[in-house]
Amino acid sequence: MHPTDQEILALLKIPAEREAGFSLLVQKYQQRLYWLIRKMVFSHEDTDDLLQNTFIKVWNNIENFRGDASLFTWLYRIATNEALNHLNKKRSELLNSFEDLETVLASQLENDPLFSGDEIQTRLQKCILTLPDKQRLVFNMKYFDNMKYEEMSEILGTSTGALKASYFHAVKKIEAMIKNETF
Amino acid sequence: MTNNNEIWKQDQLFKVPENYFEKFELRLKNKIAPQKPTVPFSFAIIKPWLGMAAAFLVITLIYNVATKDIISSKNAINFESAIFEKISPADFFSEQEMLDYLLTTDPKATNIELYPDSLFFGDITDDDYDLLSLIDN
Repeated sequence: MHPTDQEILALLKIPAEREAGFSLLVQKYQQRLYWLIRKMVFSHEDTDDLLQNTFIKVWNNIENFRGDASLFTWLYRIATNEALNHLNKKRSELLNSFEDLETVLASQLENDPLFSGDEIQTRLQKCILTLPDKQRLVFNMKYFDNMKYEEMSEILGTSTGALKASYFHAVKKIEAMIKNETF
Repeated sequence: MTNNNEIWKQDQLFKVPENYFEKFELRLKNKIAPQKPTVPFSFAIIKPWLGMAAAFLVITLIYNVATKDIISSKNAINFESAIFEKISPADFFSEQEMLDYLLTTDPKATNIELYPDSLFFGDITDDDYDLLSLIDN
């Protein structure tokens, strides 16, 4: 049973207990943040790097955390920014290439020994890959993580109405692609 | 598209290496606070730095003494002159920029007074001065 965020924050504020508090925080959130990032970047190695970066940023800035948002929201926000920035960086590295990021990620998925999906599941992942990064993030958070729109709104800084519209369009696009087999 | 269908369970599609999460925290801690090797103190380590500091001190002393001798000459410009040290707005503009400003600005709106022997005009002749006086104020 994991401690509450308030208990973790209380420990983090005490210098002598900061390491213990951080350890509890990592144990509580490492898997959730890992899967959030992994669904966006696909590669385990990249996910590992980004997850470490996320927690390092948390460690370095925990004293500046004012508690305006919940600890959960703050962690998710850092992790999503890490993932989106990583994808932007990858995309800019491919500017002079004939391939786009979606093609690279799809190819990576097919050859990844740590991906155990069958043909249908692989094709679904490729459909989701065609969505813009932020829309893909919204889709993952809503559909696979079953997050509430209010939680997503706090994390992404977008209104719940915009998130609902984004998710609705994402679903329609994926359904159309699967129906027409355009992937 | 329903959440109950196993096809949508992404966590089961992506795998992680064995014991990844068990080892993650330790790897993270090593990254946050890496062990730094301790270097035993030795005078030999700081000796070159002391030498550089001494050389810099000597150079500074020589410079201060030498420049005082040069400046104390009677024919040299008096650096302590308040007029000389005063920085005017003219120092920040080129001659052409100042000319453009003067030709387009109503002199009545400013307190600018120009003298033919001012440094700003350089080699202005009497004929040039006459022409300037014809400019409509």
